[in-house]
Amino acid sequence: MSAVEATSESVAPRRRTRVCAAMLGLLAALALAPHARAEDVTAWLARAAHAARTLNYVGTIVFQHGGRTETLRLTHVNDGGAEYEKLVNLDGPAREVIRSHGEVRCYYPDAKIVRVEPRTFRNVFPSLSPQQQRSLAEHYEFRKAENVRVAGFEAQVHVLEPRDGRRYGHKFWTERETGLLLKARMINERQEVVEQFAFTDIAIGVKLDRELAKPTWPAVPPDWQLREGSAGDPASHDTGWVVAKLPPGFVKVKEGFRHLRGRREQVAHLVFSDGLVAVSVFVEPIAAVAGQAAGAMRQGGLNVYAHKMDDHLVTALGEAPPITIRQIAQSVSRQARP
Amino acid sequence: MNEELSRLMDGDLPDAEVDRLLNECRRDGALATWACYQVIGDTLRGTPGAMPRFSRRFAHALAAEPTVLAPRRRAQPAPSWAWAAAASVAAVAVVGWTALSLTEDPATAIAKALEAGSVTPARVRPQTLPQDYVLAHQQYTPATAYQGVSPYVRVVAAPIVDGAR
Amino acid sequence: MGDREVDQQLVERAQRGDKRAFELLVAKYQRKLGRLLSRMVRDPAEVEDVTQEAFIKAYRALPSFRGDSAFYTWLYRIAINTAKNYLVALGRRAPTTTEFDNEDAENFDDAEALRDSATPEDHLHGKQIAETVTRAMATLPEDLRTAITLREIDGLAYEEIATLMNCPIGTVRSRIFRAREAIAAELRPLLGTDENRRW
Repeated sequence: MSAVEATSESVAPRRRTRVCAAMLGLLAALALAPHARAEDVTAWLARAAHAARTLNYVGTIVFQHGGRTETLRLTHVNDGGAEYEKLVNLDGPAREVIRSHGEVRCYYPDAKIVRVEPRTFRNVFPSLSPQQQRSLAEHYEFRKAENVRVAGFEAQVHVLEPRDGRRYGHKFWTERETGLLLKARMINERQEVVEQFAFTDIAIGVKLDRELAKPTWPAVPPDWQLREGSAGDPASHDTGWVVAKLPPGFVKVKEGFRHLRGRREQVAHLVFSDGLVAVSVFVEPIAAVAGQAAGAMRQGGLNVYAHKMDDHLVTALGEAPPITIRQIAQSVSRQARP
Repeated sequence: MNEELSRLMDGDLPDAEVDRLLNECRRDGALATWACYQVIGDTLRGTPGAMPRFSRRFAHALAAEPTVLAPRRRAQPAPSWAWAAAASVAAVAVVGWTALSLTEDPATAIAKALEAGSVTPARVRPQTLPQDYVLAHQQYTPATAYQGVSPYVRVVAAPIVDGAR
Repeated sequence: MGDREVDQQLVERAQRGDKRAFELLVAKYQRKLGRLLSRMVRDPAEVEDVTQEAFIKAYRALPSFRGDSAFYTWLYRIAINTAKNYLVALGRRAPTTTEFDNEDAENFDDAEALRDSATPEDHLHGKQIAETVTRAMATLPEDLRTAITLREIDGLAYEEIATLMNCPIGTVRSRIFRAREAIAAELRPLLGTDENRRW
């Protein structure tokens, strides 16, 4: 400081201001680092969502879960605002997921089945209210780590460590320039990786023809089974079911009736989220689901729990530890009549 | 005493009894039993590792350390909900080791797995997922927004379960 | 209960001066930490030294552990730093990739863990342990096997297991204990004799 003061007569006033500003900036950065604020976290997640939606990119993904590893090829094309996306399984049976105009079609040539999920209207990262942002900060501790290289790009590293045992820890690697998510990891209480998704090679922002995201098969190949879901009204409707004991931080984000597996029976679908992950609850009359076993299952970070209640089958699933899924499933009950 | 060690491992021993247990643990073998139980858990989860000589060395090193004393702090309150009463829940079948008994005798299945070289017990479990539910869920989970279509790998990775689903 | 609450009971007592409580924690995490450190410090003999040093450092730092993070997370960070300092002191380069920094989680891949592991003898020992446990599990009565699987692999609390198995908590407690004892009976000979016999 004294060097600056001593030469204050000879130094132009602008330069001194710049030095002071730089020092203030440094002090401010020191005060903030390494813990990010809630707004910063949701900002870069929203940026990742924006990049995922608007950029062209193609690459190879390695997806690890439950001790298994899958390799996939992903192509995403943004053609004047319309998104076309294709995900191909490179290991095992050749399966494809095609997403265009928000509709998702899953092709299973080995079983001759195509599953269709119509478009939802929620394709953007939900902009969280200040209350939800606070809730996120309350339940996760945010931290930034040093940049590393992923798939040849420099990536920023964000860690969200849960403050309780009801949710998983998350670690994200986003490409520095565009914010595109290159790698993501879910971690359990024992610090074990339950699931990891990572690009091993990727080209971003290249010119891509939307033909590259075309499915290999026609929309409904001859003599395949079509299993169509229908999402129903995007607005929320009461289903008559409630979850009495939600884990802290989880709020209901959607409720309504829908159809599954191309069947006529209505299924109640409720979605709960803590801002980062979601848990779905499905309630349906048991007569409609002959043959379904109740119980607990998991695939990587996705946990499922189903049980019979009265004449209904209640199924909960989501990216949260088994205890949370079980908790939610077991506190489903009918809405008390006013 | 071994049963109390087992409960301590699982957080089932009330605070008051923990002190009593630690005080009583002067007999040979308590630490060995605890360590043995821990190895069982690690092995089941497929994460063995081996450091057979470690404990004795460490014991000597720790004995030489001056005892630390930290000021007493108020414990963090645990989440306050109580578990739902079992009365409203019908008995459920559990997927996992017991699922093996749906197809064949567990001992046979394990023997086959051992033969095949996959020694880790955790690997010998079949997993299937209700894909229509997963597909419906994926449309609403935040991950689909910031990860694009990649989370749908879950729908195409699981083995197909045909029939009603 | 999650690890966090379980460990807290022991951490608190260690902080009050009970070394036995700390030894129990060490016995719980020593293999896991050893596995982690063996990726940074390749020599098996050195791995034990560094692991010991990490635990001692953690013991000395106990008064500063406030329970904001899980005990293992805190321990993990101390261990990484211990290993780095160790390598630097020997004039060796610490791995520069930040793969180990900032409590990066352990990878799930068993093959990798085994590759980095210790001497051939220890490797064989590990395999024998795994085989013994697997065999013992297969011969357990189904209710004991289910109970210990739900506890150790699914990580469920006793209450949850009681709900799932439709039995009282006391029964869950007893089944898990009997399962452990049955497996331990086969396993004890493998785990060494006097080496643990301090108390």
